Amino acid sequence: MRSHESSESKTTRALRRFGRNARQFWRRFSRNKLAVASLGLVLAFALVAVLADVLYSYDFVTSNSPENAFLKPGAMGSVTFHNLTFDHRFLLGSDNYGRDILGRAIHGARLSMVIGFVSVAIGLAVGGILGLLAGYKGGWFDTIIMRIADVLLAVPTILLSIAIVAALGNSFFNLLVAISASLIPGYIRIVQASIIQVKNQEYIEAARCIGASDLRIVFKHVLANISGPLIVQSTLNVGASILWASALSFLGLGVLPPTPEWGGMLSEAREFIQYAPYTLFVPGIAIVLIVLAYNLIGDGLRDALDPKLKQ
Amino acid sequence: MDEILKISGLTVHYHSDGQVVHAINDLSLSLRKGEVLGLVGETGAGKTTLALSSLNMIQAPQGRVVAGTIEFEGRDVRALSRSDIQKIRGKDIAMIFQDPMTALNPLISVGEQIAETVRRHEKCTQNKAWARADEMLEMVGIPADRADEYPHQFSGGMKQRVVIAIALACNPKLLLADEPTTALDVTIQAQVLDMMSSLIRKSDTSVLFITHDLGIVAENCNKVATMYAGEIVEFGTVEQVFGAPRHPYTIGLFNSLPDFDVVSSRLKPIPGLMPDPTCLPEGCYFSPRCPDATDLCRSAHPVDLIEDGHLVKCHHPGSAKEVVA
Repeated sequence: MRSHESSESKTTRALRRFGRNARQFWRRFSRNKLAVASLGLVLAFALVAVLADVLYSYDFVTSNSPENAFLKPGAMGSVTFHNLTFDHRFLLGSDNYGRDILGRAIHGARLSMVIGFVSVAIGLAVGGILGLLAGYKGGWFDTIIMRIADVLLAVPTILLSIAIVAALGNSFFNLLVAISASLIPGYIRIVQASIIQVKNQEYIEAARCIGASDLRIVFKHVLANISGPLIVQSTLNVGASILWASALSFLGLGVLPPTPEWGGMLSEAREFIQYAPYTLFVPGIAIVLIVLAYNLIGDGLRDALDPKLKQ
Repeated sequence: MDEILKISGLTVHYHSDGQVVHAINDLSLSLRKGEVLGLVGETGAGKTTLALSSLNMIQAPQGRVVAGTIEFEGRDVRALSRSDIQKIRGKDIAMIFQDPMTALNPLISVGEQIAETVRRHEKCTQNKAWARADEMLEMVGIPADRADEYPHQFSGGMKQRVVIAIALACNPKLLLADEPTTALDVTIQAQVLDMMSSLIRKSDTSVLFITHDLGIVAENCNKVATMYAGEIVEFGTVEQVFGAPRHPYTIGLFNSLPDFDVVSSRLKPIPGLMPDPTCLPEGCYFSPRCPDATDLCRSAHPVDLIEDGHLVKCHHPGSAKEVVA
């Protein structure tokens, strides 16, 4: 009668449950065709970013060859590189220093992906922990943390990042710090608010009532219940931080040239907007597509994770 | 030493908006092994607070136990270390919550929620804990193959049975049942109560049964305590209290029940409301609503009168006969 559960171990059960949940989630997520298309696009960008070194060598896309400047998309050029001279087809043209735009955009994708994920990870970790402590502990700690977050939120994000980079100096690492730091107050707010909402639920009291420790309650019962809004927010933030990184680079506050970065490429190309507009299109469209894709995925996730929309 | 729970002189305050809410006032109560004590009283009388304080779960900073001791098996629960009290919660003293809709974590499967309790308190493997979870589910009448499902896939009555399964998973010595059937409709109430009482009989658990429903008390309990404004105003065996209630509040409760033998269009409620717990009246807390109140009642707080184990906190007890008639 009760044969199945005795023969089945906890692990198989957990796997089965996970499989079922994953299928359910995918069914809800895949209803939104735009979100699925965006996910495909982001995965394509990620694949290109991973394969960047295979497709174009980094040294190649960062070294100048003035004789190839402003080649039209698809034009052939003769490149001298590492004492070797060979013909190269510039699929999407070349920029003012005669560098392959497609190659630079591909290496830029790698940088953008890293910035997007690392800064969100740092922001989520720091802001999440602070918000968690503030929300769960309450009292004066909550007051202090939240007022600091309020002050930081009152400063426009981009200004905050500019101030941080300006103070610390231009570098890739400082760019990461600046973007992460400007994400932190938002995360503190969202986590603290969700925790306050969840911690007064009766099931939290019930968990305490069966003898669960604070740590266990926070990680098993509270955190899981606020993961929905956090996942959505983080997806949107990946897009936003890519945008900010490009904006900062465009302003000359991001990574240093000749590092290929979309914002930096735009900045260099804008002087030649009339003479060679295609130099702007590639990084510009790349930024638009990736940010749009992350936002659409965020929307799709919100619909799929919101329990109120569950069937 | 057969007293499993002994509360003496307990006073609990809640602080809100600069006001002090007197939730429990100098309350003493004891519960013997194997006894089922029905705790009745209207909303806000402090019943849930009493249950929570037995687990030392009054939440600071709003709530504070001002005075009194709570002894569980002779140990003062308030003096226990955090880890010691956590070992007692869920293992020796378990609580059934009032609202099954919110007492279960929506993101964890019901089987896991039962297994979690077992794993917390008994040294056993995951598989053993899950086997126990299956067993508990079957025991409360839910097929074990639904253990992997989530709370939203269950009906209200089934959720309450899951909550009961969690509470009983570690064979507690004391069960605090906080209105376990209030959120359920009457037919499910009967099922859940039948199931609970048979489970309780099997395991010889002591129970503090909090309820509004005097019928439930009559059927399931050995002892009754009536609570009013944070005090126990009457306490005795079911026979004593139901046979001859002595406190005017208890009498009023019985009077406000519909009587099926007499055709009448109106019920007889107790006039007035519970006193505001931020400013309790002088004298007897029930005096503003009491039909028999005298000047003495309005000026002096009554003491416990105990007669043959039947306790009543009243200056003029025993006008009982007229009720029964």
